[in-house]
Amino acid sequence: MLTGPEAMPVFSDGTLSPQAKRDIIAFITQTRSEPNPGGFSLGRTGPVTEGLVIWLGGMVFLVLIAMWITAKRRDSAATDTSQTGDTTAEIHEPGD
Amino acid sequence: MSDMEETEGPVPPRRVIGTPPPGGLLGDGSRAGNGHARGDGRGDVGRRSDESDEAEHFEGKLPTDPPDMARAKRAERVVALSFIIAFLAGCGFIAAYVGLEVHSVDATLRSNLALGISLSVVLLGLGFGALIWVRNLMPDVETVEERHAPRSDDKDRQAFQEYFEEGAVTSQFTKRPLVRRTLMLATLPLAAAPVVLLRDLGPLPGTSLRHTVWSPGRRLLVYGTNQPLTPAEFSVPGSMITIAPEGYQDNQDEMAKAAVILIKLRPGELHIPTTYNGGTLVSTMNWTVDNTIVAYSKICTHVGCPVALYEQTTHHILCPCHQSTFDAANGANVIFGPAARPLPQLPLAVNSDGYLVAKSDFTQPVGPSFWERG
Amino acid sequence: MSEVETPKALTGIAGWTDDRFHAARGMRVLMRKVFPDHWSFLLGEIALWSFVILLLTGTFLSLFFVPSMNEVVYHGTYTKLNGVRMSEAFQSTLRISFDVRGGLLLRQIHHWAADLFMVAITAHMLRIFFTGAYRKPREVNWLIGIVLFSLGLIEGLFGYSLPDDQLSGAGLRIFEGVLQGIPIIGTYAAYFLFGGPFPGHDIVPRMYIIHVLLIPGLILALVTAHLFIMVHQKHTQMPGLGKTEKNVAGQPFYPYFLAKGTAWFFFIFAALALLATFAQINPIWLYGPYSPVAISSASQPDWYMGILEGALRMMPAWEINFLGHTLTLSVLIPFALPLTIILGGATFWPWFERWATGDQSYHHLNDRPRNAPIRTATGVAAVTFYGVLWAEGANDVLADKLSIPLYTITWISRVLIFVGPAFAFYATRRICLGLQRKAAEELSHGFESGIIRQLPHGEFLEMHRPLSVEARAVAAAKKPVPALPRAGSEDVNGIPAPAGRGALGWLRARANSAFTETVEAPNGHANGHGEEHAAVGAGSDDAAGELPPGESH
Repeated sequence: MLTGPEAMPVFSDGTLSPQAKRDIIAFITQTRSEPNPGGFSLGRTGPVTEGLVIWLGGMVFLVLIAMWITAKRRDSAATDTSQTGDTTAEIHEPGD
Repeated sequence: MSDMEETEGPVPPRRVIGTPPPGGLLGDGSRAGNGHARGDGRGDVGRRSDESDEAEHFEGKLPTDPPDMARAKRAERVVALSFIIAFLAGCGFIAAYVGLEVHSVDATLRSNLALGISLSVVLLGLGFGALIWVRNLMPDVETVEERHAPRSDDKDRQAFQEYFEEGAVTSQFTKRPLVRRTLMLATLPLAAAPVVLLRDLGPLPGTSLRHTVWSPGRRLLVYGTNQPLTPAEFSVPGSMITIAPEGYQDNQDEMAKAAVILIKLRPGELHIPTTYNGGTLVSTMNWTVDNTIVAYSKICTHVGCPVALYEQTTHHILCPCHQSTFDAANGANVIFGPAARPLPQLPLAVNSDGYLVAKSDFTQPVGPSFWERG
Repeated sequence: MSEVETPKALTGIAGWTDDRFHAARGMRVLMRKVFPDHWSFLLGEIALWSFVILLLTGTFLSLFFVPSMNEVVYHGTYTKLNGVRMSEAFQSTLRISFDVRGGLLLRQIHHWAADLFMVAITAHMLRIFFTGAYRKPREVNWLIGIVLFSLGLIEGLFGYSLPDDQLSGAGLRIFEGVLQGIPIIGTYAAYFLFGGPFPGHDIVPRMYIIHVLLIPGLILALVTAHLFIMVHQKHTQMPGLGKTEKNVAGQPFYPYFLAKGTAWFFFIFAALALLATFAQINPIWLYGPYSPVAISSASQPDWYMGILEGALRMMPAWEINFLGHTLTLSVLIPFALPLTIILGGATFWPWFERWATGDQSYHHLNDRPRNAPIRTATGVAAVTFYGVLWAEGANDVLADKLSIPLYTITWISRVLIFVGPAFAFYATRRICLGLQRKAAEELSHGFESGIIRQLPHGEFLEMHRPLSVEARAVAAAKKPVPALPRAGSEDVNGIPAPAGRGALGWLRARANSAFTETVEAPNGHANGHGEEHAAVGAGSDDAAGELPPGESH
């Protein structure tokens, strides 16, 4: 804060007293180290990561469940070969 | 008989969906091709001609049991286990609520985890159990029902129109234009009233957007510490700090317009052009101190975010909202981004006690553009 | 005859109700209603159940939240903020998070549910669009859906702005700045909404009543209408064997869909509970109370407002000053244009499609997206347009995480916003036509089984298996788009078609030719296969397993 490395502006002691600087630093270090009561912090980046999580995490999970809910049942009367003699998409090789 | 009866019995015949069983879908004995089981009203079992609504829906009986009873028994155990786990988790939820306190960040974390995990298990257990139930305990069934005709038939439409017109005539609405028109007239103010009533939502803007609380001689305070500033205390090139007008540092409504950034540049860097906006001076080197200290409005001229990011090496001021970039050495003119106007410059001076003060208010409105800005 | 004896209590209640409401027949019809089964039909229900969860958790939160901007000095559990001035709204949100058991959990479920609500509506709208389920007779439901989407946007915006924290407050500031820039009425609108200059003391209580009463009431009414219309008109269904425009195939509501719907509700709620347990959302204590003097990078609104944010970032500076007035296009174009294009486009699309295809008939069978190349391509172009804006809204986060210069990302997005949708349209159309070609080939030649057979004279052939009856029905389920009379075309008596006259007529003919472009489904004999066909035909016999006996070749 005193010298402003590279592009960071300078905050001389005349502008922010050393005590004020210590207070700011303490605030930042405490914030960095404090636990996240809501769960994983997701990088503490805000709504961008929250949006990614809801689409990629929430929606993908729910679409998979939806596919499971509506999937054809294994014992369904409808999935097997019919009386009309058409074969299904499965390949039946001799010896299967 | 009913098509569904075919799936009962020890070895259910396999059928492709939609291929109608020999008995026909509606049990009417008709052979319907491609599952298009629209009966034609002749000799249909289970279809009563006076109840056309019901006849569209499938009339078969539901099968009572799934075909594979052993599998169903296994599923039953899974479902029951799932529900029992849900029950236990539900009790856990209540226990966690009663037993775990909050009132600290760590305690909140523990409570959130305990309550959240138990709630999730309850819900997952119920959902999973219900799903296994319907997929493995209920017999599978494919049913078809007919769609009713989408529109009313012409007879009904005709009758509707006739009665509508009848009623319109009887009400005299059509025959008495005076009554009709005065009715319209009477309702107009009432319709406008809700809009009119909104007038007192707020004051008229007047000229308030054109002025801030900065005035001649008002001291600059460092925002946060509320200390006044001398040029000597702000002497290191590359310095930047947020400024509040003295007396208004806690007034959010005023600070939303009056916040200022103060910047110290290297000697020789500052080259503020003398510019006018329709006859009014808006930027000049005369408003700087020591040819190196300059003050600009902190409120971005795009849509009003505070321009808080400063790169001392390039003397660029960056607004993080939409990346409007202003050159502090050049009158804060716009280098990149959607802002269309430079940041207004605050005329600076040093008062008799040596403190930085404003010479006057900004000479142009700060913040986002508006229609009457000019 | 049923196997079960209904308990007396139930029959008693049922009788009591029917005595008063004549409900027996109606209820039975309802219970036997057939619901088609496809996973994509469950997307709208995610929105429905999310809304229910929002109502439940929101009611809890409203018992503790204080919608007031009066300033207080904090002394509480979150000690880092002790002595800091904040509004009562912010303070009550801290209290809910740290001093109410289950408060943080329910707050997080509420916020995740709001995000999921908008995700579900978007996914559902896309499904409806890409399958053409908005066509007659369902246009009204489509419009209701667009209104619900817009209401959801505002509801979410106001909802996350209620705690009056630094992040959402910055969003409100932007909102006020945009309002202010509207010509003629802007400053009045801003002062009326905020009760004076920004931030004022009125915005939080006003947003509160709109958020907890006005909009939920509207959404509830519209959702009810939406569902009622859907039940009355019956759901659409995917093309398949036995499915026609005149029937619905699936499972009866009671007991099947009731059970599946219940399971679905619990899974949705479970997903939200899991997120609220393990993924922190909107940690307002880290943002701090709102001050108009402070800001941070990575300041974005919630995801569904992202396109507006992206538009504001993408727009170059453009302002017109004349006669003492300022027209700030840098602000007005991003505010108005993207949403107008997307919502307006969505609103008018059904009617545009009818105009271009001349198709006035009822549609209860969904289209496979590949069978409507222009519609699908337009949808993908719209999604691309939306996506570029959305990504630009996160440009500083992208610049940081991907180590790309910030201005570069903005320049790329300024180019992509035009190039992206155009390319997406072109590519999607070609992909659709390619998939149609594949379906046509499969119908005539069967699908490639991946099994190579060597013929006696040494030639290698890939065996083709005929499609199953079901797959065949799906692949063949393509309705041709009727061609409208061409501009300038004349009928047998030499009279030009009236609809084809004028500039509009010419446009219509062009649109129609785009819509009618398709790949012909073969009538047992594909064309243009040249040597493939010959190779297959040469030396083939039934033993090669290519076609079932009896099919003409």
